[in-house]
Amino acid sequence: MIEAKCVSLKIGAATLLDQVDTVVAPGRITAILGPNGAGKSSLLSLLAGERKPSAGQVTLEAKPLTHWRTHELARRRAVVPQSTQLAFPFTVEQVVRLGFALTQPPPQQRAAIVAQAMAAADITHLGDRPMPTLSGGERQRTHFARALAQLAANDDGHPAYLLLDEPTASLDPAHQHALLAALRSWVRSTNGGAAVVLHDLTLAARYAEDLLLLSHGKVAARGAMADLDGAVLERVYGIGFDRLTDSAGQALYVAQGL
Amino acid sequence: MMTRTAFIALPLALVLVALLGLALGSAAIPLKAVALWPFDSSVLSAQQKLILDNIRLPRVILGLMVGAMLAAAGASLQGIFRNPLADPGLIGVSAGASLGAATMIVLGGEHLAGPLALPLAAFAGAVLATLAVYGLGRRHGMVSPPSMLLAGIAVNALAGAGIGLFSYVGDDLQLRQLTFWTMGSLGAAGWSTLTPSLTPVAVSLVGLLALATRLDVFALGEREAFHLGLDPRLMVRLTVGLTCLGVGAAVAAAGPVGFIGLVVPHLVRLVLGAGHRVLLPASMLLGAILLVGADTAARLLAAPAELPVGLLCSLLGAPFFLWLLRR
Repeated sequence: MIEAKCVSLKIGAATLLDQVDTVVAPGRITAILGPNGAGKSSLLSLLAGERKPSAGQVTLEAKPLTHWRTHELARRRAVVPQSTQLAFPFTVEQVVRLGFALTQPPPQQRAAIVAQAMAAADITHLGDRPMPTLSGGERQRTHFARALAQLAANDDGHPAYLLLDEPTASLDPAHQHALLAALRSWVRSTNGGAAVVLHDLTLAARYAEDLLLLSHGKVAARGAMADLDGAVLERVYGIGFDRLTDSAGQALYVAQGL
Repeated sequence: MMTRTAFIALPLALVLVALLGLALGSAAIPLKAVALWPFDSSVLSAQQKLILDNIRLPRVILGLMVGAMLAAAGASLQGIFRNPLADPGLIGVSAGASLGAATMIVLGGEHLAGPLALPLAAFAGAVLATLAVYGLGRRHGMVSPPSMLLAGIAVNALAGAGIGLFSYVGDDLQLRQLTFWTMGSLGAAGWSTLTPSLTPVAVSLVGLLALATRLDVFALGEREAFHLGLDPRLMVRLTVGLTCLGVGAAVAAAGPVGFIGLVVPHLVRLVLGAGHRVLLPASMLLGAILLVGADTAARLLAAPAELPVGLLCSLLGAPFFLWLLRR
C-alpha cells in the first residue's frame, strides 16, 4: 500500500497541496479527480517519490519513500507521465524494453514481458516504428506498455503500484476504455494498486473503485466511487451535474451545458 | 543486419585507416611492410623504423584515441543534455583547455616550457571550466541540464574573451603558437605527450560504455529516469566527470578538434538508431577512423606542409553530413 499521511507541498509562496491524506491500495483503482490546478499531478509526484513533501510523509509498505533506494522503488512502482519528450528516435519496442533496463528480468522472460505489455496497450503493430512518427495517443499507449513491462519484470510476490497521470488525455474513446480495461485486468491479475488522474467522470465511474477529489490542493471528497455526491462535484467544479443511470444501472454524472 | 554489418565494417576500416596513416606521409613506406612490421621487423630499413617508432605510431595512436574520445563524449553529452546539439565544447572543456593553453603560452615564459607544461595547463583549464559550468548549472541544489547548457554558453564566452585578451597582449610568436594550438593538430604527437593521456582517456571510454544503458533510460527524461530506478543527479555527475577527464586529456594532447564530437554520433544514429549500447562503441570506432583518416589526408594534401586536421575534419565531414541529412 502507498499511503500519503497529511502531506503538504509548498513551492515558494504557493501551496500546491495542503494536508492531503490518501491511500493507493492493492487490488483497487483510485481515481484522482479535480479541476485544473487542484494539485493532482503534484500529489502523483509525491506518491511516486519524485518530490518530497514539505510536511507529512508518503510510505510504501509502511516504509517512508525517502528510505527506499531508487532502484528498489522502481521494482515496486511505475509511473505513466502526462507527456514525455523523448530526446532521440528510439523505436516503440526499444522504449517498452527501457521499462526494465535497470531492473533486468531473466533474459528468457524478456520477450514475453514485452509482447504482453505491448498487447495490453494495443501497440503490437507499432513495434519497429520510431517514436517521433507516432500520434500523441500512440505515444501515450507506448509509455503505458513501458510501465507494465517495468512492473512485470519485477514480480517478486509483493503488490506493485502504477501511477498514471491523465493516461487517456490523447486517446480516442475506444482506446480510453481499452487502456483502463487493461489497467483493471492488470490490477486484478497481479493484485497491484493503481492511482489514475482523470478528467472524465464517466471513465472514473466505470473503472475506479475509489476516488479522491481535490480542490485547491485540499481533499474535497474521498472514499468509494459509488458514494460520490453530485453536490460536492458542483461545488468543486463550479458547474452543474446531472445524475443519470445507464443501461447497466450504473450512476453517472454528466456536466450540464453552460 | 545493419548493426552486425557495421561492427564488422568499422573495425576493418579502422585497421585499414591506421595502416594507411602509418604508411603514408612525406616519406612513404610500403603498406605491406607496415602490415608485416609487428611480425618481422627486418622488412623495414633503420630509417623507416625510426619514422614509424618516433613519429607515425604515436601520431596514429593519438588520432585513434582523440577521435574515439571526442565522439564518445559527444554521444554521451547529447544523451545527458537530451539535446542533439550538445558536444564536448558545451560543458566548457575545449574553451577551458584553450584558455589554459593560452595562459601558459603567453604568461608561462621560457622556464615553464617543458614538454608537459602546455598539456597540463590545458587539462587544468578544461577541468576548471567544467567545474564552473557544473557549479553554475545547479538550481535549488539540483543539477539541471538546461541551466548547465546556459552556464556552458556563458563560460565559453568568458573563456573566449580570455583567449582574445591573451592574443591581444601576446607577441607575434606567442600569437602564432596560440592560433595553431586552437586549431587542433596531431602534429605535436610524441610518446611524451601521448603516454600521460592514455590512462584518463581509457578510464573515460570504459566508464562511458558502462553507462550506455543508463543513457538510454535518461533519454526518456530525468523524472522518467528516476521512475525507472536511476538517480539522475549521480548520472549527470558521472557522465560530466568522465567526459571532462577524457576530453580534457585528449584536448591537452591534441588541441581542440571540432566537428567529430558533434557530428559522429549523429551519423551513427541516422544509420544504426538511437540505442546507446550500439551508438557509443560505433561512435568511438567512427570517430577514430575519421580523425586518423583526416590527419593522413591533412599530411598528404599540402605536403610537405600540413593542414590543421580540425579544419579538414569539418571540410570533409560537414558536406557528407548534409548529404546524409537530405537523403
